[in-house]
Amino acid sequence: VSDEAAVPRAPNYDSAGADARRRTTAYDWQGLSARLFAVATVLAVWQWIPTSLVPEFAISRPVDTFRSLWDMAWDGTLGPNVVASLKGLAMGLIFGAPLGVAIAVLLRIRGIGWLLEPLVTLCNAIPKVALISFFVLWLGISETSHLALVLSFVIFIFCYNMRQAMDEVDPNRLTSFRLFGADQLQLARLLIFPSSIPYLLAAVRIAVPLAFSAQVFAELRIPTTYGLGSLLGTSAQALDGAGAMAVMIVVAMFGYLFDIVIGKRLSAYARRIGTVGDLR
Amino acid sequence: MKRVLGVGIQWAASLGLVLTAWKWWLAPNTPRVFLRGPEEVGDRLVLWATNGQLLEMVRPTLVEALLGLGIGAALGIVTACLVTLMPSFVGKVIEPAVVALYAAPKFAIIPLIYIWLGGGLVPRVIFVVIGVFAIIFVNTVSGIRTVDPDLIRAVQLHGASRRQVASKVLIPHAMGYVSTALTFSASYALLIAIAAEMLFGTTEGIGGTLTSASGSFEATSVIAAIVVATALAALLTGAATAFGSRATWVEQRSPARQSSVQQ
Repeated sequence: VSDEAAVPRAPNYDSAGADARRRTTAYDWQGLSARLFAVATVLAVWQWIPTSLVPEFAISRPVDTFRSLWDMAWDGTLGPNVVASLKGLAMGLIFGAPLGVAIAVLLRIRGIGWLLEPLVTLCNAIPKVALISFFVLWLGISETSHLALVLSFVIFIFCYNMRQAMDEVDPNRLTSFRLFGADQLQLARLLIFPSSIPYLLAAVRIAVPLAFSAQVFAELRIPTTYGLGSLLGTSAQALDGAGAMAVMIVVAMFGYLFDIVIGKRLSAYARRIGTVGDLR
Repeated sequence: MKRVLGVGIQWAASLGLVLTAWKWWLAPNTPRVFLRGPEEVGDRLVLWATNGQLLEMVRPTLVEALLGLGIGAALGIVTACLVTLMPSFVGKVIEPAVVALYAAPKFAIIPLIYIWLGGGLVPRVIFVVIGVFAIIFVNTVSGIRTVDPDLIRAVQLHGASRRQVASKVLIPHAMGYVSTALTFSASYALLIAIAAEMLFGTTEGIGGTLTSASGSFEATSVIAAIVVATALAALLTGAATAFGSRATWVEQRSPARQSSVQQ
């Protein structure tokens, strides 16, 4: 019972914009023009804001930023950095998801669960970014340190979602499976694993933006040769405002892309295969 | 009482296991640069507590987290109300911008803030405000949007004014979402405050302590600072949970409670 207080659930990540879009069938021209207007306003302010208010080396100008972005995209600066960041993110998910699920299953075993439960709660309560200082001692200035930080975020999300999935297995089905003589393995294979899929998809939905954020943070804190965060850090340190803004735009675009692709597509898929309730 | 005792025994057993493994197995088998025994970390914490370094370290981080939480939450709730209650040009301009801000990794703007405003307390608070604002905004908006329209129509049929619809239906329903988001944001605000201290390159606060400790390869200080950060996170989450359960008193009278309780 006390664990509920110590481990807050993540808030509802389903953006309200998705609801609005689902409701309207006709294309929302007013919304589109509003957005275009907003973008135009931001660009205009950014281009003509007086340098007394914001120094030009800090935020550059849109024209310079897009020129810088264009150059970076074609002279081969951006490519390896994007690849490095995305690779870190993918590795974090590939290793983190099974680990988290395994821990959740391990906690189900009576004695082990009783003993390890407080430990998992405690580890989850650690402000994870603080761990980077610890990882850098152990793993040095390397991509492995970044991966360790990303893992520390991803594992707990999968662990808690898997746990919730096992808690919320339909008790009637569980009873009837047992009545028909299913053993533990059959129960896991035929009932618990299939019914946990929506919860794991929800975990992906939460984990991807968070892992990307952690990756960028780790790269900013411990710059290595390649990585969007490292590139951003070097540009900012060289007071190259246009370069820094260009990298920031790329990072934001990827964040938004993940939100759209994973959020919307995955939610739709989960709804189609019959999730109970909404994806968190 | 019996339950409290049981949980106490469970925690004691778990922590005992970890400390034992750490002291007699992990620490002797790792180079001393990487890991020291738990007793050295304990000594360091006692030292910090007695020479005032603990307070000096916690104060800036706590100020950033709490100020950021307060200002960010207030801004988020007000903006969410503006966007949802005047469904017009305003909302359609603001909403996608905030959702984009929410989805993008926020740490990426730290270098920008640093070049612009430096690495002092104010820029760090600004960063925490930005992070908290996005979370509270998104959750408040979905709280207001998920109100059952039939319920509003029913209340209106019974002659409720706009103000009554807001105070009896909308706000109680949205409160559940807001308090969940606040509880989550409390530890999140601490996390991004520490992250900001680390990235702004300051020596203040928990983040600053961590940076300088890992820079000089002091494993003891790194672990001690992580312990302090974790204790602070637990404290903040506990306080926010208590505050949330008090603030949702309105919810109990609302028929909308059933639908929000799942969150």
